[in-house]
Amino acid sequence: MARGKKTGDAALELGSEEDLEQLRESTKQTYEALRNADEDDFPPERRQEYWRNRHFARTAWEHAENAAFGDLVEKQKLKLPAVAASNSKLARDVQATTNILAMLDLVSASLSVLAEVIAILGPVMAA
Amino acid sequence: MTTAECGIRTGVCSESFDNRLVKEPRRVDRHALRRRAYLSLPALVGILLSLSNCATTQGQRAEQLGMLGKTYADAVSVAGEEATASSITFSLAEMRKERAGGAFATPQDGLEALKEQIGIIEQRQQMVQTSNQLLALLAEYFADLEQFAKQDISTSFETATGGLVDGINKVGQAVESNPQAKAKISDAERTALAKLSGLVARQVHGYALARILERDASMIGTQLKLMSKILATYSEWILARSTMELKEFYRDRVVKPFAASGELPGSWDQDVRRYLQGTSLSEQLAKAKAAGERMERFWADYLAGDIPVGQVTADLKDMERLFQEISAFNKAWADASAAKPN
Repeated sequence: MARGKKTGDAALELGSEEDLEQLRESTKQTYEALRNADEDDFPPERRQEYWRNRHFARTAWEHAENAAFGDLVEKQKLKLPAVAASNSKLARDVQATTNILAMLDLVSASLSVLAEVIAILGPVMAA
Repeated sequence: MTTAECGIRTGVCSESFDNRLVKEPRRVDRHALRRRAYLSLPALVGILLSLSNCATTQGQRAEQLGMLGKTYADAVSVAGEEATASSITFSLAEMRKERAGGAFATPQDGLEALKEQIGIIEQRQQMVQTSNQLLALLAEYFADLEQFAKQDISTSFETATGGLVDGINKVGQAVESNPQAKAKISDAERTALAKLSGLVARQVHGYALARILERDASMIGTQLKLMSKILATYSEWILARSTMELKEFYRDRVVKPFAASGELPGSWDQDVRRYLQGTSLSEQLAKAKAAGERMERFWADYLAGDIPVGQVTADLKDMERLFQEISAFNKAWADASAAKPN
């Protein structure tokens, strides 16, 4: 029973994407072949064996599926820094635009204040 | 107009626009300057207007891509949840059959098998969860990109520039110590300047979006490819199980009762209908898997300008609906499979 798991784990460590796909496909085919066989066609003394084999085959297939998917998720994890970096760069771009707008607003507000100050101090200085 | 054409044309225009500004003398006769401004302002507005199509194109592309990427990431997440649920239902139903068939010679064997089965399911759930968390980060990127592309930056710039011009006028009036002094920049000039700044801002925004797409092209391409593979995997999980169940259902509930002598069970017609419904969904699932595989090539085609994004987005929405249909069907299927024919 543990054979299926060992096969899956070993493939996860050593196999390429193609190897894992091949493993998944071949374990699926084995399981499908067993499912296609009708239980009723077996003599009663061989039915337990049929179900045992069917269980092993299914377990091996599910391990192989997990191994192949695990490989994809590992690839996703490896590419995570690139996504995170793009996210922060995009946030900086958005922030830069906001900053420019804020700067324009600030300059126009400062000019208004400066105009007020000059208007108040102008007559005083002239006197 | 392609992205490349837009990029090149934007570059040329920015250069000539900058040169004009740099070469402009700082202190010249005020009237001459105003005359030149009157002459050059419409020309500049004209040039910028002709280029505004470029900025709009860049904005639309970035917005569409952002929306597509977000929809895609969401569809893959939904598919992941459905695929997990589907494989758990399948495994448990099979465990039940295997146990009844005598697959486990001793209770100890049965317990070990159960433990291993739960381990497989837990591992799968965990991986799908991790994958969905990573997809959520990508979805966030695409959502931000869409929002940034949608931002109407030109109106904000027009308002801000108008405010700036008002500020300059106020200072000018104050310096001359005459509140009745004529404004240094007339209302017409103020409006023209504000509109000009809006156009410039739109150009800059379009250029910034083009730069973002160019900068992140590799990351986007890799992620879209990975998402396609994940989606194809999920579709395969569901499709394989659904096909196997259908085959067995057809043999046990459609063919066998019909081949047997005597009256057909009362549920036979209903079982045939269920089988046909399942076959139709399986065909659609096969299409979803193929769509996932097609999406692997999407990015290259998109960059070449060969793919209308709207069509791809509609396909993804259909896919999302399909996974919801499958979810409903699987529930009904589980009930039908559990019920004994009468």
